[in-house]
Amino acid sequence: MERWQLITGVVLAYLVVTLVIGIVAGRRATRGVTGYVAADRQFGLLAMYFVIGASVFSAFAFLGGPGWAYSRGMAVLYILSYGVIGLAPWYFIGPRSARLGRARGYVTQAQLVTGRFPSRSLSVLMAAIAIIAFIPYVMLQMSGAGIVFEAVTQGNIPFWAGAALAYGVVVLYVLLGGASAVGWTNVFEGVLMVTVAWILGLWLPYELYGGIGPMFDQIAAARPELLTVPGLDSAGNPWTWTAYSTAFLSSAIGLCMWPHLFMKAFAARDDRTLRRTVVLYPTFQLFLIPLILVGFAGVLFSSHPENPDFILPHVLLNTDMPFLMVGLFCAGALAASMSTGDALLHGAASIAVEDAVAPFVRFSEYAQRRLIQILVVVIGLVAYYFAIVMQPNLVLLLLTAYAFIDQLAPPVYAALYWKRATTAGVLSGLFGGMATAVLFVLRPGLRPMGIHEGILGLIVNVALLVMVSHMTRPQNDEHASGFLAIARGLRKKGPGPTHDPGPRQ
Amino acid sequence: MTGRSVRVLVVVWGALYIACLSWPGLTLFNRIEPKILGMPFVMAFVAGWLVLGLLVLIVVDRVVAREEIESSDEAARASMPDKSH
Repeated sequence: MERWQLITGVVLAYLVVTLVIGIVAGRRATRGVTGYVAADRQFGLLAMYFVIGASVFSAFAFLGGPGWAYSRGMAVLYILSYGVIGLAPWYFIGPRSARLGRARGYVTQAQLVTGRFPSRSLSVLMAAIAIIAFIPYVMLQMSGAGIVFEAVTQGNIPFWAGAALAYGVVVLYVLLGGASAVGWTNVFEGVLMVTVAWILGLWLPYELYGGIGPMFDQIAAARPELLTVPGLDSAGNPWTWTAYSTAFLSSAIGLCMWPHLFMKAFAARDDRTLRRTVVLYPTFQLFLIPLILVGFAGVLFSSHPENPDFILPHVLLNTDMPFLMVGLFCAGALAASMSTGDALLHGAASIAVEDAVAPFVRFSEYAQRRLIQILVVVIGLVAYYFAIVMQPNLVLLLLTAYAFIDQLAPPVYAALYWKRATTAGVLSGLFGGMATAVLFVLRPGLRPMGIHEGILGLIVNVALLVMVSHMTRPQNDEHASGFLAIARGLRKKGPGPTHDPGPRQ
Repeated sequence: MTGRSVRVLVVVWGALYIACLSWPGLTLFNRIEPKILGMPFVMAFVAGWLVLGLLVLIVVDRVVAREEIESSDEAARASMPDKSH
């Protein structure tokens, strides 16, 4: 048997194990919407730690991170920086959201926000933003999977077939197991990717350069421009400090606004679990360091891939390593892609049904669950089509997605903390912020000083939220205070409607 | 430490974190030498902030957990007379 066939065998074995875990976990959940979307609110610390860690760390971190270190040098430090500060607010807003979820039956972020600001347009707008941001993010995960297969099999399994194979497995376990399958496969995938990253990141610099210090000495002599912030841009010219700083800021603000993260808060067993997840999160974030080292190890490597995102598999396959190790490393990269992709597909489909369809049509829990499953397949196919046709750059895709996700921050914070905010204020802020972000995504040349489009959108968003809220009538005091009292844990149930998932079967 | 001083600690830490890890703070630490654990200084500096973040969050969590236990004790004490009926 040839070496690439043995490596492919290891990767396929990984896919089978993941599928089995997903199917077995899914059998334990109940069949209603809460079971399928929020795993019956039963995730403990172990599951939550890996669910949050593995859904945040994706193919973006595993392939795009080394790709950035390799091609853009210390620009990559922004990726290392934003995670810890980005997730810290979750320590406070996670439990607040979860309390409201338990008291009123919310399973999505938009249900939470419209629980405070009742408006079907707001619900649909939030669902649209989530799906618009999710599709490029899913595309990114699929290209990651395609890249791994194409590199590992030396083109014998091409990009399109590799992405289809990995995501066939993902769609299957999401369909059969819902949130429980996503959670328990993430535990397996998380353990695999973290272990693999640390071993590889520490071993490779020794193998190639005789140590981490000697590696950086050689890079400092040959390519010193790579070793200071803000590094280079994608064309190889020096990056600007404003672009670096606002990319950092925009990602930090957006990180805990991802709608699938809220769905995970609703899946947590209790507040302690959620808080401890945030406290332990920096330990997960540190695993970017070995990945960055892998990227730097590629800088002076004897050969170079065409696309920087291929640097990790490229270095691996051209170094003398046992096939089992190479196979496990590729499985780790695949795990990073799939553990985010599954949460996103499941999240996008659940949001489309719960926030864009359910407010208008009354249908049974069984029908909702079935419709979510159909949409998992449809959204998967749409993202797959774009991923194959466009073959996008990984990091740029994610930065664009953050421009939209950032705009969800003002509505969420207003709902949880600001009593004077009004529905009109939130709606106009969100519209204005999105319009601004879209404008600058389409016309990046217009951005003043290269400031990130997410930050520009936020400025408009917050200004409109504050102005319009003060110009409109305050919310009914009982409604707003009741909502905030539940959020602060002062009251178990407030006056006001609990979320009605539709007539029961 | 009280709940209030913990909130101040979090805000101060967050503000310093953002200031030190982007412009202008990071320009002061933007050096290759001295290397720490083999890493260029600026990279080790960022990694150091992650470790500090872990410590800050652990401290915050201890205080919040203690407060929760105290407040649930108070709630239990307040509800005692009801149970005696």
